[in-house]
Amino acid sequence: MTRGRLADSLIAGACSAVVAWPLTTLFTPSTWIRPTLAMVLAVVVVGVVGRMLTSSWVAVAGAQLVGVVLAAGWIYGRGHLWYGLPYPDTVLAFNNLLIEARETIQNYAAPAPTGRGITLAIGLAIGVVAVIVDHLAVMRRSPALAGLPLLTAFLISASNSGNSLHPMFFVASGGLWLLMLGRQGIASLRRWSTTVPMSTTGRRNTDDHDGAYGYAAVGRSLAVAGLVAAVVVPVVIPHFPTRYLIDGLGRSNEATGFSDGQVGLKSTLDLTKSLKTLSKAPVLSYTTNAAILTPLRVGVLENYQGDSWRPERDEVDYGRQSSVPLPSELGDDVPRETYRISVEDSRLEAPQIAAPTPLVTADLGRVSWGLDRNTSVAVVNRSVSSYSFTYLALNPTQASLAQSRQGPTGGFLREDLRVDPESQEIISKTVGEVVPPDASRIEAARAIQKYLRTDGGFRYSLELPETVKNEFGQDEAPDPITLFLRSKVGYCVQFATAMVMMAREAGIPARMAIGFLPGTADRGTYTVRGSDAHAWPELYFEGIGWLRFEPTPSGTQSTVAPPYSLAPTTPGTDPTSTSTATGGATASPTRPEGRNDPGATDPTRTTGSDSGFASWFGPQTRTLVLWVLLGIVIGLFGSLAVPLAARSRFRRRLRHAPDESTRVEIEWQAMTERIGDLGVIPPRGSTPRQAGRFYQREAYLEGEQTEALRRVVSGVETSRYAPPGSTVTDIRVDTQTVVKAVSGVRRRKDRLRATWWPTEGLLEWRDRRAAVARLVRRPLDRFQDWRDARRDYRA
Amino acid sequence: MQARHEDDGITQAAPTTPVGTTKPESLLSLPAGSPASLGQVTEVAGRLARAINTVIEGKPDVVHTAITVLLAEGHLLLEDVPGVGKTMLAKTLARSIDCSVRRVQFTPDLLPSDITGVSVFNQDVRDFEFRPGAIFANVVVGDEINRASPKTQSALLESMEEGQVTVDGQTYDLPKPFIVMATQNPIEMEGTYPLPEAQRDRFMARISLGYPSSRAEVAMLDSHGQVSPLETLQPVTDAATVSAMVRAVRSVFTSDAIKQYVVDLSAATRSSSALRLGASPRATLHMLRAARAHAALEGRDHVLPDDVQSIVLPVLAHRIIPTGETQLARRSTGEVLQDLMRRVPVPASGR
Repeated sequence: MTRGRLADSLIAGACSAVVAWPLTTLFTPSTWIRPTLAMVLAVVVVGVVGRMLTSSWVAVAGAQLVGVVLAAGWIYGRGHLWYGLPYPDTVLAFNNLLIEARETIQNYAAPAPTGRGITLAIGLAIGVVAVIVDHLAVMRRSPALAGLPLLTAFLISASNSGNSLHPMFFVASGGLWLLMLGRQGIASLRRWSTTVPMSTTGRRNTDDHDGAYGYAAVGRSLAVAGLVAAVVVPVVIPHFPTRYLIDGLGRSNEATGFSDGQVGLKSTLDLTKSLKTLSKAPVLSYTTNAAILTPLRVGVLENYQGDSWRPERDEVDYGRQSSVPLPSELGDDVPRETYRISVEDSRLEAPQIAAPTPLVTADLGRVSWGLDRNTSVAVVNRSVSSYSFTYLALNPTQASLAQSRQGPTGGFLREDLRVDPESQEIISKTVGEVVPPDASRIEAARAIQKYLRTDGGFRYSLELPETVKNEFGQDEAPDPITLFLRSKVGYCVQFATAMVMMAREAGIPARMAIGFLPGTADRGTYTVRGSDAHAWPELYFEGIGWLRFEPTPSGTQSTVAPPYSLAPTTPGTDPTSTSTATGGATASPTRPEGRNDPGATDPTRTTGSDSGFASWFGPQTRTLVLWVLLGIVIGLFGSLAVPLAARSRFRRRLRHAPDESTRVEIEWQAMTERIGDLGVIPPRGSTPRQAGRFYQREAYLEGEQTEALRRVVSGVETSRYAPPGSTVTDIRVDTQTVVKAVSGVRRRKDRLRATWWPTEGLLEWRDRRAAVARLVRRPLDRFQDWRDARRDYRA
Repeated sequence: MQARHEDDGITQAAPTTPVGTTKPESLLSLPAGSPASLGQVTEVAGRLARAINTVIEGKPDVVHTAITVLLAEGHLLLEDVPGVGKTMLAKTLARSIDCSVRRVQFTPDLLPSDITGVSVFNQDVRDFEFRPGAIFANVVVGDEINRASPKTQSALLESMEEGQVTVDGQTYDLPKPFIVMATQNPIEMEGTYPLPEAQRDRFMARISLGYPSSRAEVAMLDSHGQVSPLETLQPVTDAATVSAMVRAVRSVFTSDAIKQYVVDLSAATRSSSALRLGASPRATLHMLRAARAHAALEGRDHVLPDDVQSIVLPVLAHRIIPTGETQLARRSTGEVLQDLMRRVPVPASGR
C-alpha cells in the first residue's frame, strides 16, 4: 500500500470532489453528485492500483484517463455501449448530452435543472480534474501545484452563481488542499537527515534558524502576508464586471414564476407584447428513441389579423383510433424514419396536446382525439396526462425539395398565402432583396431563414422596442411586422411571423406553428417547461407537406434549424450548430452563418443524424485544426531555431578564426559537443587522447572511423601542444566522420536530441540573450556613472 | 669525468663499488656539451631500460619512471617493504651508466659530515683540508635513508636541491649529472625516522616496486640463482651522454596550455578538501620537468597532457598529506590524485 499511496490518493480525490461542491448552488436537484463521486473514486482506485503495479507516470495517468472514459460509459452511457465498452454511438450520445448541457447552461439562470447532459459534463470535468490532481499531488509529489487545477475547477463552479458564495465552500476546498499539502510536506521533511537534534523536552531551540524551524518561520511569514493581502487587495483592485462561463447560468433574469396546475398555450399570439416572464414550471416530460429531437407542436395558426395570430375553429372527428393516415400529399420517395415518443405528466389543457408531426400511430388510452381536418393538428376532447405516439422524421432529399416548383394548388391553401396588408410594402421589399429572382421554392425558403437567422443582423430579445427610427431620424411606431423587420429585434413569434409573411410573399404557402422546444434531458427523460414554449413557421412543399423551418436564432432558448432547411453544406461546417448561431442573447447578432464555406455544394452530405454531431465538433474542429496547424508551423520554426543557431555559431566562429589551430580547436569543440549531445561524454579531465579512446570504446569505432578519430586527436594535440610552426592539418572531414559513426550506434532518442537540441545552439541563444541584456544594461550603467559623477562633482 | 673520491674518512659508509672502469664496446657515448637528438634520447633510454630489465624482472613501469627521473635531473625515492629489490634497482641503474657511484648505508648514528665531507687538519701543509663526503659522485645510492636521524637526513637538503655542498663556509660543486637514489621502508616499519616534508619534497618522484608477479618471480629465481646478473652487467652509457640527454630533455617544447594544466593540477591539490598539504611550487616544477622527460622518452618534441598525467602519481603522491578523514576512509593519496585528474579540465590554451 505504501507504493500505491492510498492515503494521499484519497485526499487528492476528496479535494477533486469537494471543489465541485459549489455546483450544488448552480444545479438542482443535486442528482449529479453520486455519479461524479463514482468518477472520482474510479480515478483514485485506478491510481492506487496502477502505482502498485508500475512506477511509470505515463502508464498510471493513461490508465486513469481510460478509467474515466470507461466509468463515464458505464455511468452515463448505458444503452449506448458495445459489450460494456464505449464505441462511436457512445460518443454520439455523449455529444448530444454535452450539447444539451451547453444549452442548459445558456438557457437557464441558476439554479438550472440538472439534466443528463449537465450530469455528464460535471462528471467528465471533475473526473479529468481528479486525474490531473492525482498526477500532480501523488505521482509528482507536488501538492502545491495541484492547487491550480483545483482552484480552476473551484472558480468555474463558484463564479457562475452570480452571487457571493458561502464561505464554507472555500473553507472545505482550501482545508482539504492544505491537509494534502501538510501531509506530504511533513512526510518529505521526515525524509531529511538532519544534524539538528529534535527537541525532546518540547522546547524549541529558538537560536536555530536552519532546518525545519527556518521553514516554519517562512511559513508563518507567508501566512501573515497572505492574510494582509486578503484584506488589502480587494480594497485596492477595481471591481470588474462579472463574467460567466459561456454566458450561462450567472445571468440573472427574473426566471421564477412557478405555477402549479394546468397550463395552456395561448392560441392567440400578440406580436406587440414583450415577454416578461418565462415559467420554469414543467409542462410535460417524455422519453423518446429519436436521435434528433424535434419540437412538439400544439397548434397551428393561419390567420393573421391586425397585430396578432388568431385561431380558427377546430373541425375534428373525435375517436380512439390508434393508427393515423399519412398526409395525402406526402410522396413515397421522401426518406423517413419512424420514432416513438412517450409523454408523461402532461399538464396541457384540452383540447391541446403536444405531438410531433407527422403522426403514424397513437396511444392515448381511453381519451378520444382526432386530427383537425384543415391543419392536421392533434386535439383531444379532455386532458390526457400520459400518451405515446410514433411519428415520422422526414428527411426530404434535395431532389424532392427542388421538385416543388410550381405554384400553389388547392383552395385550402388560399389563407396560407395571404400577406399582411399593413406590412406588405416592407415584406415585398425585403423578399426582393433576400430571395434571388430565379430561386426555387426551397432556395427561397432557405434564403429567408438564413436572412432572419444570421445574415440579416437580427437580435433575439424578449424585450421588444416600442418605436423605430425612420429615415428622417424620427421615432415611429409602425405595425409589428414592419417594426420587427426594421428594428431587427424580437423573439420567436416575431421571427416566425416574419418568415411566414415573407414566404407567403415569395409564393410559398406558410403558416404559424406553436408548441414546445424539445426541453432538457435527465437520464433519458426530457422535461419541457413553460419557458420552452416556441413558435415556428411551417412551409408547404408539394409532394412532402408542411415542413418546419427555424428562423429564430438561439436566444434564451436554443433553437436548432432542421437540416433540410439549410443550404447544403459539408457536415464539418453544418451551420445547424447552436454555437455558431448567435450563441446567446448578448452575442453578436451579425455573425453570418456558413460564411466560411463557399465551395461546399455537395447536397448528399447533409444528413439528419449527422447534424448534431457535426454541430458540436464542426466549426470548433475547423478552428482547432487551424490553431493546431498554426502551432505546428510555429513549433517547426521554433524547433529549427536551436539547430540553426548551432550551425550559424559554428560557421561564424570558423570564419572568424585567426589561424588554423584555432579552427582545429573550434572543430574539436564542436565535435565533442555533438558527441556529448548524443550522450557520449568523456570524464571532465580527459585529455584529447583519452577522449579519443573513450569515443572508440563507447561507439565501437572500427577501420576508417578509427583512423579518422586518430587523425582528429593528433591534429588537436599538434595544434594545442606542439611548438609554434608545426603543420596543423584541417580535421573537419574527420570530425564529421566520427560524429556520424558515433551517431550511428546511439539510440534514436539521443540522435533526435542531438539534432534538435544541440548544446552549441543553446550556447548561441544564451549569448544572444546576454547580448540583449548588455544592450539594456549599458544605458543604465551610463546613467549610473553620470549620476555618480555628478554627485562626486557636487561633493 | 669527475674524480672519484674514495671513502677513507667515512667510516660508516659502506665501501662503494667503482664500476665501469673499463669502457665496454657496447657503450654508447656522445660528445660532451651538445644536446642529444630525440632519436638518440630514445635509443639510449631504450638500451638503459633493457639493461636494467635484465636485472629487475617484470617491472618495466618502475624502470621507465626511474629513467624519466634521471633525465629530468631529479632524485628518486624508492619506498617499499624490505626485499623487493629497491637497492638492486638503484645499484643496477647506477651500474648501467659509466660514471662515479657512491653508496651510503644510512644508520641511526650516521653523521651529517659523513655525507657532505669534513675539513681535517693536514699536518703537512699546516692547514685544514676538505675531505669530500659520500655525496660527491654522479650517482649516490642512499640505502635505508629513513634509518638515519633527521639531523643526518637534513645534510642532503642543500646538495639535492642546489647540486652543491657548503662546509665551513666553503661551497663545493657536485659533479653533473647528479642523482640521489634513496631507498626506504614504509614509515610504519620499526626503527625508522620519517623523512621531513622538506626532505621528501626534494625527491622528484617516489616509486615502489611492489611484489613481482609469480612468473617474474620464477624467472628471478632462475636468473639470480647462481650468480647475480648485476655482476655481469656492463654499462650502456656514460655520464656525458646522460648530460647530453638531459640537455635534450630541457629543450622539449611546453605549450602554455600544458603549463596551465600543471599549475591547475597543483592548485587542485591545494584546494582539495581531501588533502591537508597540497603540492608545492617545487612540485609543480618537478611535474613539468618529469613530463618533459616523459615526452622525450616517447620521442616527442612537445609535452602532452597525457605525459603530465602519467607522471602525476609518482611526482606528487609522496608530497601531499591527506586529511584525517581521508585516512580514516582508507583513501590513499594516489586515489585522491586520480580523482583530481578526472576533475581538472585540460586547458585548450594557456589563459
